[in-house]
Formats: sequence, C-alpha cells, structure tokens
Amino acid sequence: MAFNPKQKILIIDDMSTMRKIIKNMLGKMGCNDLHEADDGAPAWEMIQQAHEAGKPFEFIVSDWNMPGLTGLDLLKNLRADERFKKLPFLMITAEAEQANVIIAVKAGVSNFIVKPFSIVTLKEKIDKIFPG
Amino acid sequence: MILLLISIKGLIIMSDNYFVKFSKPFLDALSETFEMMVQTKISAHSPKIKTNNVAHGDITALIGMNGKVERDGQEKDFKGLMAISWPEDMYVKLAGRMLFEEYTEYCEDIADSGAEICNIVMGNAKNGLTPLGYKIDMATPSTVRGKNHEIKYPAKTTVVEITLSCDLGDFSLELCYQEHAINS
Repeated sequence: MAFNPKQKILIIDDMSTMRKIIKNMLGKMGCNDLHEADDGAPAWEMIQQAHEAGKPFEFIVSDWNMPGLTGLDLLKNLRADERFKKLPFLMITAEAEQANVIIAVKAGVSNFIVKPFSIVTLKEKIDKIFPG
Repeated sequence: MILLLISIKGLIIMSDNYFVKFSKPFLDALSETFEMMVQTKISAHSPKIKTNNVAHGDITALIGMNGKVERDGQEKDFKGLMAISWPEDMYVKLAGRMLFEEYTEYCEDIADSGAEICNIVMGNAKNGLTPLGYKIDMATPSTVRGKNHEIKYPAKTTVVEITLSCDLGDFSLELCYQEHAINS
C-alpha cells in the first residue's frame, strides 16, 4: 500500500523541537492529519482511544528514548495487541548501535531512522514502509 | 607566568592522544548534525583550554556523561560534559532553520532546540566512541540562558573549548573529560 499523505499520523517525542521538525517535514510531504504526544504513555492512550472512536491512527512516528514509556515499550504494547499488530511504526533514535536495531526489529518495528536526518531520508524510510 | 602555565597545560592536554580521540566523534557528530538539520557546514578553530566557567554564548545546551573505557586490557571510569553555547540571535536563526519556521526572537517554541542538538550530537558521538572502547551513559540534556551565565563542570575536569563557525555566525563547543581508576 502506497503512502497516503491524508493518513492520520501520530508523532511522539519528548522534545518539542523534534516533534515540530517531524511535523513540518511531514507537512512538506502534504500530510495534514498530524497529531502529537510527548511520551509513549499518553501516545498509547491516544492510539487506543482513536481506535475505539473509529478514527484510528494509520502511522506512528516515535522517538526511542523518552522518560516515561519509551518508543520500544510502546512498540511492544502495540505488537502485543491484535488491533495494532500491523500498525506501521517508524522508530527515531539518536543512537545507531547495531544491538538497538536488532532489538527494534525483533519487536516488530517497520523501519528505523537515526538522527540527524533530512526530509529526503524521512521520505525514503516512509516509502519503504509503504511501497507503491 | 599564569598564562604561560595555562599554555603549557593546554599543550599537554592537546597532545593527550586519548582526549583527541575522545573529541573527534563529537566534532564529527556536530558537523553532520549541522549539515543535516541546519543545512550549513561548520569549520572548527584551534582548541583552547578554558580557564573559567562563564559561557561564551547567551544560550548553552549541555549534557553530562559518565561510563567506562577499556584500553590496553584495563578498564577505567570516566566522567565528562559537552556544552554548546550560542549568541542568542544566532540561536534564534538556527532554531528557525531547523524547524522550517522564521523566528525573530527567543520564545518557548525554540526553548529546547539547543538541547535537541545536544542530544543528537551526544547520541552520534556515542556511536563513534563505542569502537574506541567507551561505554557511555548519557544524561538528559538541559539548557541555560542569560548573559554571562556560568556552566557547572564536573569537578577536577579540564575543559577544552573549540570555536566553530558557520554561515549563521560563531558558537562554541566545550568538552570536559577525565578518566579515573574504578571506584576512586
């Protein structure tokens, strides 16, 4: 399924600057149904509530390191829940250690992006998650 | 006399291969971060030993670190800190470029932009330091703002300051680092 910019997207990062960067990059790709959370815990609530309300999120872009529920823990919650097993999940991290990549892949991440990154890199990763 | 001593101390530190090896991943990471997120190249001036704790810029983002380093079969503890300090007008332009927005003055929207840069640089430097035997625990970055604010460096560390230039102006990177025997 190709990426549809009209998708409902949730951006999760504890740093407001990074949320804005991702939001603006996605905005430049034509996305406008963009939502934000500053930690994995409120994000997990938002994802469940949106599903129950019949307007589920269709794509998650999440930081790994957050002080409450980390991106990895959120991913594990999602993959353990039948409703969100296939929800596309792009993990963003400042650390590119191979061990982390393996952990994220085992947990079911759809793709992985290492900071710093450009809009070109973000688009490439999204295109791999949603091949045309 | 004092200046001469500082200079000699500086030369000793600069010639310390460990510190040079330790510093390089930070400079590489900062350079890549600026190219990718701020769309500019940076050039580094010669490093200097810093002799006081007053920040050169008006806004400083800093992150502490500690961990272990294994070298020649011996493991040591180390501690350190990285600080990046910008003049306020430069910080405002820099944050605007990162966020694809235009800001004319410092505001809440850009309050954590410096800390995010610090976080990215530290994360990437950590990747570069792992093959050199470092196991690093990163702290959470923080930001200090104000004219002539002071930076609290870890005790008994030497601070090396590197002035950096880019198309938005000059700013500084400060690194302090010290190894010590485990549990000393």
